[in-house]
Amino acid sequence: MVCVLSLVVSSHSVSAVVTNIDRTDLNGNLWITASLRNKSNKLLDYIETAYHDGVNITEHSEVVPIADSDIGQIRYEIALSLADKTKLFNDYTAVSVSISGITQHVDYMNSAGDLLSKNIEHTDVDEVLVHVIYTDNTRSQYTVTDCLFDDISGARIVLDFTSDKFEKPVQSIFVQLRTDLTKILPSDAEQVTMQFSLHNSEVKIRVKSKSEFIEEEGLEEEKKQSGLLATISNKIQDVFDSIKNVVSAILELPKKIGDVLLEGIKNLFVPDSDYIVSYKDKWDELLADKFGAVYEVCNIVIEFFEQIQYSSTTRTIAFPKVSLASAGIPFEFGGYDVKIIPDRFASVQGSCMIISGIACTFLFVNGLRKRYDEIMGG
Amino acid sequence: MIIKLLLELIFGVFSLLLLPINLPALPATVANYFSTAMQYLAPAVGIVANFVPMPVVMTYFGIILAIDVGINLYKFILWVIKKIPMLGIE
Repeated sequence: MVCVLSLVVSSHSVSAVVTNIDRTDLNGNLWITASLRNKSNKLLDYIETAYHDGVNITEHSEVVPIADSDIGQIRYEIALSLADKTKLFNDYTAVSVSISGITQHVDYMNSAGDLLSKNIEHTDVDEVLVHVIYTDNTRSQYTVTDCLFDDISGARIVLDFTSDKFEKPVQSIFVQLRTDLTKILPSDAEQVTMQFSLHNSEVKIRVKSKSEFIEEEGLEEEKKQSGLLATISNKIQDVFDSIKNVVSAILELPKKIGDVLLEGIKNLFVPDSDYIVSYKDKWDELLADKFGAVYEVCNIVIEFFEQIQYSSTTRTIAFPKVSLASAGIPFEFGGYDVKIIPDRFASVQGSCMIISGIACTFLFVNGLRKRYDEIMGG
Repeated sequence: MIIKLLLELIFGVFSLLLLPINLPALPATVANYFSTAMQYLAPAVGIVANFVPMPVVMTYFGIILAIDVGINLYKFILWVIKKIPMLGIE
């Protein structure tokens, strides 16, 4: 039996995913590993914690600083083997995150529910998502985790996690929510997602069965809309959403027009690369056709210069293989390299390169000057 | 589109100008000998590459060559134009 508890803190619209592994070593220590990755799959944080008999015996490992630009949605998942629960844990594992340069923590709850909260300090946090995932029907034994927000309007948010088995009850608005949630949970519920939006105090619950989401329900703080009122509310919400879409489309219009204009101007003046290649081929074909032998000789000479250009600079002479066997003469020579400068004189070669490069530049400038005089001087 | 049109125009003009020219192709044997000779020569000349930065030299050489070709092309076109009596260019 495995229970996975995950916490998602969202401040923008991008996402990061955390994977998790749990294992028990030969000494009976339960290891919990969590890695935090951003949307580019870059490792932001890596945490490895070991528990023995419910006691944390390690400290957090290295924490990689998270760049502000990477922060969008941070998600932690901790997998806890319930098979080891009896000797290591008597209850759930809780996870909390602080983001954007604030120190982050991972903490776990014990059976007494002593450790049930951690602080998340981030001014942009506007949504908190809690996942409780069951891989089998253990919901009767382990009920959905609850959360508690303190000081919702401020920058400081406190999340409390608990379950039915905790001795200390949670006094929060979500007591009611838990009741409602229990009602809608199907027998094969595999995953329950609670989404708390701090801006409009809305709570959304999604229940997932073994294969797919089978139910979705929206709850408001402390009261659930139902019947006709809910339908009207949904319709109004749909209308608002449509208006919002239209407005955003209108706002994006100038940018789209600009893009189209730019693209048009670009197409008007700049030919595409495929055309340039085909145009060059056309010229090659024309010149080869018209100049015949002259063009071919030119090509051979160009190839010769290309070979020189990419000649080896490894202080060796490459002797090409010369064979007159085809002419009936038993003569063969070459096919090997000869070192002309020992490796210990490599610096001398480098100096030669620099000096000759400078000399070539002077010659080039002089050549340009002469041609300038020729053109401008008539 | 405009650049494309210009390039096509240039190509068309040159195609017309080169219409009477039809030089024969190089015989395959000769071309083969040429290639072989160049293949043997290139490593020999390539020794220079151990002391002179060839990419730099070739770049400079290419620029100078392009300028020279441009000058000679200009002179050639001028020579052709001067041959047309109707234009009256001296």
